[in-house]
Amino acid sequence: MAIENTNTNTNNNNSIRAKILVRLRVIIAVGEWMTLIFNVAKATVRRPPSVKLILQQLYDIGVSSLPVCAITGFSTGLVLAAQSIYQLSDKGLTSVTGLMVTKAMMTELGPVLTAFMVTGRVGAAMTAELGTMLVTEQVDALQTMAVNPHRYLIAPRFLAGMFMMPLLTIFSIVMGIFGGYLISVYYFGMSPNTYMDPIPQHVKYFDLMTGIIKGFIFGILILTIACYKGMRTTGGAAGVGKTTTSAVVITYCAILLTNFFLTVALNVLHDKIAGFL
Amino acid sequence: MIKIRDLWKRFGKLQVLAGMDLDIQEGETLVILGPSGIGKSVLLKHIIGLLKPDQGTIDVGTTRITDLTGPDLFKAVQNMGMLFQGGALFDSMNVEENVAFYLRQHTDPETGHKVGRTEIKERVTHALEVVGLPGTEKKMPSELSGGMRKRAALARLIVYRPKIVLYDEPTTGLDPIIAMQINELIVKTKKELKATSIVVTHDMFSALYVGDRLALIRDGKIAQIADPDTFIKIDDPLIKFLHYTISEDPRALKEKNHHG
Repeated sequence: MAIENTNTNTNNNNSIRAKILVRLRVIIAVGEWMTLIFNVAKATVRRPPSVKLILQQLYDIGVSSLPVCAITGFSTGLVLAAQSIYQLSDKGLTSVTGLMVTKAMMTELGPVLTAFMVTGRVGAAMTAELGTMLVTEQVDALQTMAVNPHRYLIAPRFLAGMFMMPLLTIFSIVMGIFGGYLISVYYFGMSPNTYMDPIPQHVKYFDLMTGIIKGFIFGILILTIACYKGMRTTGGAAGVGKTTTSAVVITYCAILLTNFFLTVALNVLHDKIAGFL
Repeated sequence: MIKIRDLWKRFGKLQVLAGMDLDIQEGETLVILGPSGIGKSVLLKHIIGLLKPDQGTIDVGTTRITDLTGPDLFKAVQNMGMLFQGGALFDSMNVEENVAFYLRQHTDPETGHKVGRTEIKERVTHALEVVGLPGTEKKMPSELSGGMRKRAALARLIVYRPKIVLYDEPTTGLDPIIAMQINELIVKTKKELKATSIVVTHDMFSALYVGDRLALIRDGKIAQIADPDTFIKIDDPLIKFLHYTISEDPRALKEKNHHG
């Protein structure tokens, strides 16, 4: 009897615990995500991953994303320029087209759209790859061969993502300005000087830095969320599919939210610093 | 060699291990029998440090595996190897890269240096010959059949000569001919490496063919453990049933294979 009683008690306690755990799922997930980042950082500091693995990831994340980033940046630049000319021509404000395209690409559209494309192209693939490795026991196999999966699988991806995202962002910003220039000059017949001249006058380093900082932070978000979700995969092939979808959705939301806070924070910071100068 | 004391592990509501005690002698092949989903693989994963118990200890030699984490754990499991159910070959690498993986990652404990390129190549070729897959170096795992994948995984293991080898359901899902080859390889591996082996299976034929001692898991504990002759005579419904599934004693075949 006594034993049975303790059993029911533990069962009750367990079910209450399970209910609380379900409620706190989001907080727990964030905690686990941060723990993963911490563990990877620790493993990296102790012994950096091999250069060969990092180069491989730099290529996979950076170089192979160039075409999509080119298309994204270029078409966004085209649309921005065309739309601002259509909207502003009757008000005689078309001379700001170049400036608008540049500022919009640098501060918002460049980093956010690049991050979206990289999430879809790199993040999703990474979650699926790591998830598959996990459910087919390849991650376990690494561990039984005394290789730390954090150092071998995740650290090279983190490092490459942090390094490549700002560069990809700059690349799509340049492509956007170029696209805007082409359509303004060759389709709407604007003189190249009208498009280009206001840019060096009004665009500040701060605008470019906004894009770079955002790219860097989005890079961290994309790779950490993709790896975290990949390493938490359960439930076979179907599980891999589900995890990949949720990783992409979460990353998109995280990028949009973080983008808002970054915009405000960077501008406030900039005003503060400008006040001191 | 391996000493397991009072091992407990629970997954959610499922109590998988419940106070398991087990001793494994150096150089023996212990076969752990029991139906699927009863915690046999979980036990192996505890021994090699992939899982941490809720309670209890595992000593391998003089090292307490259950107390170790991080780099110490990785160091402690360096002389162990595990053959996974699906082989768990890295599918981004070809067979050669898979088999050479350990040697390229680690320094040789005896010399303190990384193994040289030519030696790696020789050892990889030899390991693939032992498992009967010569010439498959450049194949990708996706091009191999299930049985071949398992044998390639075994080559990846024996290439670094672990002192303790764990087999997770080595013959499950294979046809009888391939299963027999795997059984033969387990015997061969033991001879070649002089390793301590633990085989987890529900295949009685395989168990009698490779095992020096047989154990039965029930309710998260070792219910029976004995040498093959005593084991098959134990009056236990499950052992009787498992014995019933085989028509002849595989040990006669083994005698014939190895001495005939």
